[in-house]
Amino acid sequence: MKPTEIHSDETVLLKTLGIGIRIRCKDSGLREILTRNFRAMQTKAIVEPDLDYTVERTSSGSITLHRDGLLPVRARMEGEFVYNLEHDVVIELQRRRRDLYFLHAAALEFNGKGLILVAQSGHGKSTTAWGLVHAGFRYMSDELAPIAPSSLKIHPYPHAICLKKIPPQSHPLPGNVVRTERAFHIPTTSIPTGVWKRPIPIQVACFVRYDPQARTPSVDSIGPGEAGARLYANALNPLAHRSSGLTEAARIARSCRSFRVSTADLRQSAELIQKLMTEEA
Amino acid sequence: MKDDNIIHTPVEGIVVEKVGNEALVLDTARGKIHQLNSTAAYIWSLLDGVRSDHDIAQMVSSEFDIDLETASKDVRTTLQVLTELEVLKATGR
Repeated sequence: MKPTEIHSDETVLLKTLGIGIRIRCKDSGLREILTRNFRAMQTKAIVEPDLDYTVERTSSGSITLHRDGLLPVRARMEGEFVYNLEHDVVIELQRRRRDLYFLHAAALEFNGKGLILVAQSGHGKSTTAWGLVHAGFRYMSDELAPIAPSSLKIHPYPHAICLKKIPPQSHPLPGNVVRTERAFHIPTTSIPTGVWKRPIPIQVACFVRYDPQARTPSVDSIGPGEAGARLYANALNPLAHRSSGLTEAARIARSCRSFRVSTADLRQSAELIQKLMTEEA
Repeated sequence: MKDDNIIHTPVEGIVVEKVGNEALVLDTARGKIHQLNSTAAYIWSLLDGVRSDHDIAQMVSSEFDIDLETASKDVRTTLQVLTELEVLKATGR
């Protein structure tokens, strides 16, 4: 029997995708940031952490991240530190869960079915996800959609919603938002519909792009060929799979309906996507 | 070289996946992915290393019920584009 690690005041314990993560951090300010960023992944105890981090703030204020097998990573500010930590966690998740097909996408639940919002960084995934959680969708992730090729189900990765800009006035930031020099991290406790924590099948894939010039959002249905190519372009670990991951992208594309969505006003964009989910049901 | 003496074959490192009546062509050497429409996917499916471009044009003519001249033009254009994209190479018979 391996020892059980009980949560202590100087430790943040997380569990995601079956991987146990321990982050030892004496700095209470940084622990608060970690807690707010990873609240939905927190656990009281884990058996022998798979990933074991130590975080130190130096007298000069810089923040160093240590892990076995990782050269120390130094950050000048909190936002950079959170980025460094998440970057390493996501890479390690891909190494340790090679069975999953990781997409750079947001994921949400609606009436028991999954929606993925696929886009490159800066194209509006997180903002659209923030809009959708005000329209009846439950949150799974704004950044990482791990999909099991065997079941074609999306698994949750529910870190805080990370907005790079202040959202529109119709969807204001909550009071407990974590503001760093890089982003606004909205804790999952402030998501009105809560977090969905079980794997679910994908019903709709939306390839989103924010169009600041557009007055209204628009949507175009696309075929599985284009969807497969777009999914492949946003896959993070395709080479971990057979046929260089192309088979998985094609299977996912065949399993759901796909749309190209140009987002505009956030409320209207959320309503449009909600309508797509309702129609597809 | 006449069409009945040209054979097109995929270059090394190409992975193909059929998606509906379309196809995805992944060029692993260059890290590029190409989406083939249904006609191009059908033409690609006929590339067996034995059939010449002319053979393929005849099959396209029959499949889509179009005259051989039109089919030959379509096949030539498609294979030329795919060759320029460096996913096919042409060899003589």
